[in-house]
Amino acid sequence: MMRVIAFTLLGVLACRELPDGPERVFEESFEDRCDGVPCGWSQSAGPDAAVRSVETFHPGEHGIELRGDGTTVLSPMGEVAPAVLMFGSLEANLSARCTDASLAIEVGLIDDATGISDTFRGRVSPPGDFARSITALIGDRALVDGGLSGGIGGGAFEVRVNTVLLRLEGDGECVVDHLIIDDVNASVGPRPGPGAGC
Amino acid sequence: MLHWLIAFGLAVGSGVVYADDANADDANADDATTGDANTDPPHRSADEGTEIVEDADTHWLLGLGLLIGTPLENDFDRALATRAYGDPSPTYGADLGALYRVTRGFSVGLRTAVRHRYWLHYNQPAATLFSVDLLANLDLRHTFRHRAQIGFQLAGGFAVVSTRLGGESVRDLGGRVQLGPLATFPIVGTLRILVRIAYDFHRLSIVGETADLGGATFLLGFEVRE
Repeated sequence: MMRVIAFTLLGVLACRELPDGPERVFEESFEDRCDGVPCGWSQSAGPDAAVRSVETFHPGEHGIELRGDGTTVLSPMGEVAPAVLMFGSLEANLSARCTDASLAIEVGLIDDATGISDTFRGRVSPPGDFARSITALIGDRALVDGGLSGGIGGGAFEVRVNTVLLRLEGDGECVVDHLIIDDVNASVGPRPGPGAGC
Repeated sequence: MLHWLIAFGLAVGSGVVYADDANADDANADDATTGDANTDPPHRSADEGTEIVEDADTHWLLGLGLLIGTPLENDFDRALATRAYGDPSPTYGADLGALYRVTRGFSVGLRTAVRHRYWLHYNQPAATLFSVDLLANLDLRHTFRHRAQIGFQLAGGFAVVSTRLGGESVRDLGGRVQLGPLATFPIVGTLRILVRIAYDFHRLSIVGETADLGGATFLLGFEVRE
């Protein structure tokens, strides 16, 4: 009898459901390619063909490469996701490498319910080898009229990413193979995978 | 998976105890019938498997087992983590060995093993690692009470490691050294339970990232003597 109970308990433990993690405000892995660039991304400034999809540390892993000062790309529009905007800031978490260049990041958010929008900006200088780089993104209007975050106190919102802009600053190049935009201190650590645990 | 291995081990372990008890009961019954408890030498057993274990003409030990291992944190895991892959799974695998018994307690031979590990991703297929090992093996054992064997294995060789991300695979070659204690227990005839706890030294470069695929492994399987 004890053995039956033990087997049953072990089965329940082995086959338990994993909880779903929270939605990211925005996440892009640049794996899907359309006409030589990551699908949905478009070049808005810089020399011709200065943006392309490239292999990164493994043939099955891809990123977006930007070359030349001022080269800019725009993301596709994001899904609606919950966000907690404290002190009018977000953070960007990138797996990236840069040579003689840095990246400016701008994120346009809109609150679907109220129509209030804000742009969050930051800059990051990744090293020459792929590494995780994290930078704060500060809302333009947070200190003027509260902006999307409602001011110093912040709050929880259902937001949609209007666009994410990456702009190269410097004559070198940068490759980004993963990008997360999320609440401050919430972008590190992957979400649990889907499915059961056995 | 670990839970099932533990449960399987407990169940099999219970079976071994029952078998030993049954043999002891049979021996006691025989002694009671004949009235002579000291007819057989104390080191002999009527069990066929024990006879073969102690038979100098028995040279081949064939083993097959399932293994589970704990991963070591390494650069390859960190490279995947920055791309939103999750923590590595335990290492699952199977191990097949053929040893030639040179002397009563010393055997040499070859072992091959397959191992699998994966990393989940939130919206991409899981990254997977699959390796095939070929190891030369030295095996030292001592038999206790003519039944259980406790020993030590040292193995060395190489492994072909295939990593698959986003539908693309890359193969790398690396050395592998494994050492650790083992034990075998009789079940029936020449079939024995094999338990091995080992530590692997298995560092290689996977697409330029240092990957330490070693660590502790636990193997549970069977061994046949011929």
